[in-house]
Amino acid sequence: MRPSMIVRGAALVAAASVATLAAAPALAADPVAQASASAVTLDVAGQNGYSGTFSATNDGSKQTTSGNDKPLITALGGQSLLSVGTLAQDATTSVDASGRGSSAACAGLAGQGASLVAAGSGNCLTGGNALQLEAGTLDLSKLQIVQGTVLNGLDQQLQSALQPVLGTLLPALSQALTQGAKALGNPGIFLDLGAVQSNCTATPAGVSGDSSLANAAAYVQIPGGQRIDLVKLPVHPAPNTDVVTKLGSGVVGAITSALKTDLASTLGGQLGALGVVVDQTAVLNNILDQLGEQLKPIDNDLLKATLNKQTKSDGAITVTALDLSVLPAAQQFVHSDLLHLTVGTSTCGPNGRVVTPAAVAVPKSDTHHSSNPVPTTVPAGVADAYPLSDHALTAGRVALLALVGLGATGAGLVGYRRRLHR
Amino acid sequence: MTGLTRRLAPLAAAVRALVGTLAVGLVVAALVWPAHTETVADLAKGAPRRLEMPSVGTKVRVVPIDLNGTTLNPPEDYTEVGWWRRSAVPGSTTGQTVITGHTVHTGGGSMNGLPDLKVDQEVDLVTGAGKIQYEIDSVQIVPKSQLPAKAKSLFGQGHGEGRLVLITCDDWDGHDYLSNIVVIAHPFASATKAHHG
Repeated sequence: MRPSMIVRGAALVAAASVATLAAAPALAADPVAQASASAVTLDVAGQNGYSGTFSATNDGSKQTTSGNDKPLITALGGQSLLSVGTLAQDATTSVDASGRGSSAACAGLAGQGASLVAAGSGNCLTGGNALQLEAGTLDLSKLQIVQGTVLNGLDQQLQSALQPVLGTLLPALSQALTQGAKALGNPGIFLDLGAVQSNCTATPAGVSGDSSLANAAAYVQIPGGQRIDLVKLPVHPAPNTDVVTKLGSGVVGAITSALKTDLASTLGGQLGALGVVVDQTAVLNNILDQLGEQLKPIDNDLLKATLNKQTKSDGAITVTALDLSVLPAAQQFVHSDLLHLTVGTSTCGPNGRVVTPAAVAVPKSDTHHSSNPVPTTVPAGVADAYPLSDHALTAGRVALLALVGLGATGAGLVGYRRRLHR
Repeated sequence: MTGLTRRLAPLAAAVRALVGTLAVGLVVAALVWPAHTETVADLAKGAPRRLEMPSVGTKVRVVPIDLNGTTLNPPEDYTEVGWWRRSAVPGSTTGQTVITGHTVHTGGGSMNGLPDLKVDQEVDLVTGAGKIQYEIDSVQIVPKSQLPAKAKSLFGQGHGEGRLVLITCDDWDGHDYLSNIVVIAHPFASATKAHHG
């Protein structure tokens, strides 16, 4: 063998080695299959309680996992809302005979006694009791008697006759209201959650995901035993089902009814002899109507939830079974530490294919990514803060702005034309 | 010629031994060398959950978003920001993590504080595994007409070494935003969450 051939052969071996060395990080950077799962995230009074994430990746030869697939609910720091129950978060990957990756994940939350099922079989929790979570309490101490509306509807003569006693009547009614609210206590807003969970799969055939919410409902518990149901969540919601929970006339009615007795007796006592000529029912109804008005923010919007929240991109899917927030509008009357709760987030993909040895020898370069599209436009500005729950209003506002803009442009053109004619 | 070949034989043998040793060494190195050097940011690697900009008092939720053609729309909820899912996962040592959110002219947008950020200030991303801390390298205004020319540099994934790119709108003229504001930061530390149970 000639020396030049030996040197050339050795150089080829060295070059191949260098190419392999260069390709090694590329192999590690692009998993053939991947999935992850997170059981619960709680944003509580600025603290972030969460179960962590369990992830599985497959480089084509073996699966590597990270995180905890059996987190304990007691490990959710920074909060006291959830202390009993079962958390599940599992993810798995596989590579078929032709080197194509698949992945599956599931995540969720259930009451005590639930059993865990490995990812890849759909749901990962079975059985178990329902658990109860207190999302907040209604703070009725902010209710007040509004002087201007107490005498609404009474004729002028009676209003004049009552003026002298208003000075003592209103403080007495305010005191009765305070005592009544105190006696009523703070009605609690509760969530009942059976097994709430999501799952997903990403295979060469496509991605899919689903969620289920067993025995999930929201209700208000009036101290003393009365339970008023607000909403029962569907067991198998369609993807991205939005639910806005109102407090409802039932709860407002229960509160005003409970306060009515105290206010009525105070009113009768304070009016004395005037009680014969004054329509006490009308005065009382004025007060109760006003209290109902004050409770309107929570009557309209209390909790907002997205069920079976799904986002998809090329070869990947993320599913969150329950994404729930206490709406800011409600926080005037809702004393709540819970700002945001997500239950059961599963992510699958994007997956790839095992790179063949011939392809491995090609050194990695920017061209690998440069063929992928990058953003060229980022329209990240809006004029006004639109109501987040009312898209129609947003569209209407945009249309109105467009009309105003059109009008202004027209006026400008007319003015300009006039100036030209002068 | 025979004499010359005979004289060069020891040299050829030496070269052969050297190249052979080098080749074997490189092959062994390729097999045992780690895929990439672990950095502090690796410890908290994961999809972002929350963006924190302590110097402007901002803490906002991060949700994954996708491209629509070549348009990157922030989340419809202007109190949240969006992580471009095809950009680098925070904690990666390659690519760049791209996050965008709305500026609202009348206030309340998740990225209203971006123009107030300064070089060397800190920006954090909370992931499922912990928190990654970034230090701001630059704050630049890019006219919207120039963004396409800079898109590959700002958002391309073939470079960046895991840096963070924040982008929103700027330069309100009474009707429209004329520019984007882009903040670029590099990771300098991370803190992991301890797992219990």
